[in-house]
Amino acid sequence: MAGSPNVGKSTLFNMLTGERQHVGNWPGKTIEKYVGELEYNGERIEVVDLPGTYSLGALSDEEVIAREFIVKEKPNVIVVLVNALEPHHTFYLALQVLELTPRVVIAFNKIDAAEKRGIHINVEKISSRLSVPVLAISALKRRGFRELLETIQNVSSKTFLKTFKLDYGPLERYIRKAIEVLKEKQVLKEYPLRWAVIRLLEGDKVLEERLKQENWETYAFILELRKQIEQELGSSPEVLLISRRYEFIEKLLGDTVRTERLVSYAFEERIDKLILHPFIGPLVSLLIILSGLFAIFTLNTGFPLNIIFSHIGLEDIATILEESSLTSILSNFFSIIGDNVASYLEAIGTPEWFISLIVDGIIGGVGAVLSFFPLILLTFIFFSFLEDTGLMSRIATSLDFVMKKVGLSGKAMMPLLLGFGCNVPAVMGTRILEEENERKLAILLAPIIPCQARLVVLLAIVSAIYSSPLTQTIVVLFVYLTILLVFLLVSSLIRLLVLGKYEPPELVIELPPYHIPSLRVISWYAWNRSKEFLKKAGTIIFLLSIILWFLLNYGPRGYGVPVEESFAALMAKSLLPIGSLIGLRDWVSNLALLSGIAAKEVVLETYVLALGIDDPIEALKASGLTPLSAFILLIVTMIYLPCVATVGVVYEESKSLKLTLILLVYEVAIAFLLGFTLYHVGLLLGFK
Amino acid sequence: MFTGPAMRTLPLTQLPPGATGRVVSILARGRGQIRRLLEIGIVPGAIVRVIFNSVGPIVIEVNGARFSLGRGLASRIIVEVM
Repeated sequence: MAGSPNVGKSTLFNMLTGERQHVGNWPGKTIEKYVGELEYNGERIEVVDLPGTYSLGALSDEEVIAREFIVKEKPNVIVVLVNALEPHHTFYLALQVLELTPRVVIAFNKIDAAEKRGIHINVEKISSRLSVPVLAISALKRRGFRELLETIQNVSSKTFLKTFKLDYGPLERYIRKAIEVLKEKQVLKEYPLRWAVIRLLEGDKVLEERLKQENWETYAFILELRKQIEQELGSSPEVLLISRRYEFIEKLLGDTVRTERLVSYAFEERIDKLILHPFIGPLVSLLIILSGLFAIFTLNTGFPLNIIFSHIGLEDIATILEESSLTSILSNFFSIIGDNVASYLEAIGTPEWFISLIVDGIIGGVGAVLSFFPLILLTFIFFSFLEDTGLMSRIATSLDFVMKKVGLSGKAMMPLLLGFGCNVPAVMGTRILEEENERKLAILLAPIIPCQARLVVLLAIVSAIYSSPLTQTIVVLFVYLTILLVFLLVSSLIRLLVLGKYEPPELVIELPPYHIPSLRVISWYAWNRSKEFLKKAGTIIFLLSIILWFLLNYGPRGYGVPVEESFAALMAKSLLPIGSLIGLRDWVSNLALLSGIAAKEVVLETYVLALGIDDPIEALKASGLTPLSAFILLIVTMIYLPCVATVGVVYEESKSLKLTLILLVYEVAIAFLLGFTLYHVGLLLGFK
Repeated sequence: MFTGPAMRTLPLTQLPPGATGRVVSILARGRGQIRRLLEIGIVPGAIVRVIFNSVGPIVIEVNGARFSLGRGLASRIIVEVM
């Protein structure tokens, strides 16, 4: 472990090694050497606390001890601590270590205190600029330890790593020359070559002495080179090197560290009085949440604002909203690309099946993944806004009593809210729940929340099949009510049957001072999380699109069969006996449900493909669905199975096959029972 | 536990907004919850000030930071009224 004085190094050392440490002396010196050990994940980790220094020069015994240890003992990993409260002062050492060895992990300590003061550090960006892992921890609060230890193990197991190379601009040609000479003369062999050269040019007494002894000629050459630099560049190499380093640090931190202003105390009191009020608070919180969801959905698809506009007679504006929504723009974009690629491939005589594979399969698949992106990004932006300002913890507090009814604490509100956008980030978000049982419950409940994809399907079916706005509204309300009841029922069942003795954890949540949000910080957070989503879910969605393309376009007779004869349709037809039990007697609706496992929007696409009608609403109208069967299809689609991406993330987050299976089983069972009941009740009431 | 004369101890949930108390003891009910309280600075001897206390989680201030605590948990924190 390396770090400047006052960075919290000894706190971290003590937190990690506890009782298992001993003190000695660094060989030949009076400076204390602390060594400790800990166990993590079956591995014994020895921790050596290097003396606190600001750099790795030769100006003090501490500095020499630190760097000699790194060079001679070759530790598997060096964790460099930086003070998050004063990054500009304490980052210099990190840079020095980076130039010496590639086995580095940078940890910004005191991140809790930094956050309180509105300091935000984009560690992901720093990490990508320096190509080493960068974390934020709080040694005092034991925050980030798990990630730290995992990263340490990760780096330690890597064999090929490259040392960071800082570009010294005009000095580079002198450095290169010196490297050649040192390599030729085979001096200072135990030190990394470039590092040794830079140190010599800077004027490192210890290395100079060594060099003098090993090869006087080379020493003289270095002195000459230094003079040359001073003459030709107008400044001593020492000044040039050090100022270049600081220039780099300023640029790096300038791009990645932001300080937000805090709201005045009086203002904060006024907001808190409102939002933490026992009666007004929950309403205000709900209002904030609903406005956020409203904004996200409208920006993404135009709904619900477009409905409002068309109802008050402003059809044109409604259409404009829909067409300029992000989803619309994206899908048009991909259509255009697809069409162009298709015409080109046709012109050069490519076989039809290949064109379809490229255009419908691959481009379609990529389009499917990217079509999620605006929604995910918007959801995370809204989320980050709530978190950053401090509103999120207040909302969690005021709605805690609601969450208790389903066996969760106010904290679980955060990930579950994400579920209204998409279930995948909701499941990923359950990471913040520390209590294992609460987390499991949240993971099992999150997929029930109606995501935007399901909302789109709901709206399409409702507007296609039911004509009067009154019926439409009733149906929509009924569907949401059913989902709510299922949610409550499942929560009780799981707590009863799966979790055993369980009580929702008591809320312990910090209410940080309100911050004035910075757009940059919000965008960092949203961007980093969205990338993570794309990586995890993106691959699954893409692969499934290809598989689906294959199943829909190929049949026993080969490529290009009509949809009824495709493999997909055959699979759907084999499900007819089950489908009939819940009133879905045609193979198209069964196929729709089957393909809905890939992603819920595919339910609509299935009707488009099967009936050969481009507009999903027209396709639904032509499908022969009756009000009753449409209703059953709706309810079943909302509940039966989450999309595969969600299932994948559930497995990954819970690391339990048993839990994932429980999820799948209960959802299918409830969907089936509901469908069955609704079908027969509907028949009794005289529907067809 | 021997307490000096005139020392009033109450569960935290019975302190009105604005009142301050010194934590005397925390009634154990599972290590995890106790640990979380300790981590945010609610230890015997800590000074706690009540900000909001009506229905639902109670909002307190300790070590200069504000927290919401569930009522059940808060009722198990015994404080000496100051």
